[in-house]
Amino acid sequence: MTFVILISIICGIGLGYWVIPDAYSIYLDSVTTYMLALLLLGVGIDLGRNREIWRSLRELGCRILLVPFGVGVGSVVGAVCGGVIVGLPINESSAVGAGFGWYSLSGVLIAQIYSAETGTLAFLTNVLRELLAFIFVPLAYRYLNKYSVIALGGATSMDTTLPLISRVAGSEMAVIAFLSGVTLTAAVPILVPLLIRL
Amino acid sequence: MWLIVVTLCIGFIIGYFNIIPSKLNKVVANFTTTSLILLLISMGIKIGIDHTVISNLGKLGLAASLLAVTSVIGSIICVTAVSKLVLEKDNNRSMKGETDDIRNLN
Repeated sequence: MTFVILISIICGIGLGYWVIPDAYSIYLDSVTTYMLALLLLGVGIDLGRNREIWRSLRELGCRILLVPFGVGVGSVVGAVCGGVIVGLPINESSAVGAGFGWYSLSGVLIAQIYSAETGTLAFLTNVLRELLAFIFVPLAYRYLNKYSVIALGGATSMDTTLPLISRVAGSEMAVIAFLSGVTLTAAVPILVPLLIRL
Repeated sequence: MWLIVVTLCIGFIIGYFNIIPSKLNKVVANFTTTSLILLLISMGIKIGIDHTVISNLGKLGLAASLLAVTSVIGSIICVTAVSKLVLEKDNNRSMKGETDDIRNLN
């Protein structure tokens, strides 16, 4: 699966860079959105069929919110550690880390509030984070704690990486991933402006 | 954004009430895999067509890669710690549930 994912992404990047003219980029957003919607229809069917998941989720209750909390804290702390290595101030690195993979929003927010260069850094970092998620979800599920697939996805685990998580880790993880993704997505527009102003 | 939530809900209703016969399970699975690959390709196109990403890779690529990797590692460590706490409690609970079941059987 990892191999197929890697090849698909590389083919896509190559096509986008060399083959497809820039004029088509306006259609690309709607194409990916509709494709994603179609995929999530399939994920939804899977989730609906597995009724026992909802029972186990009810048992976990509010404790399940500890998962996005852990993902969020880990992401910001990890980015600050990385920032220390490359000599970035804490406000920049923490805000970049608080993008949680939502590259479009975190990039734009930081570019508007702070600086274009840090905005580009946030954009790039979070694009790469999404790529890392696509590539490592199958491996993380096999070799690490099963919740790692949700950590990898960050905010994207409610949309773009959800079909992959559902396919690799099953419906139970998909439900938790969706909830975690929604929580983190809601946190991005609050946390990024807060941290960049530190 | 709304489209995503709506389609997920429609799918859920279809699945919950078994509207699609289970004979078609394999068809649905193949369909999901194919569209997942198509989605990955179009995500790739989105990255490739936006030349700011490739042109900034030289200047900011190293810092961006490092931050992406460290933030992912940080989240994995924290979530593993949290899940150990959540899971331990969960295991205790399901073990209790099992003993209850055995009692009920007796």
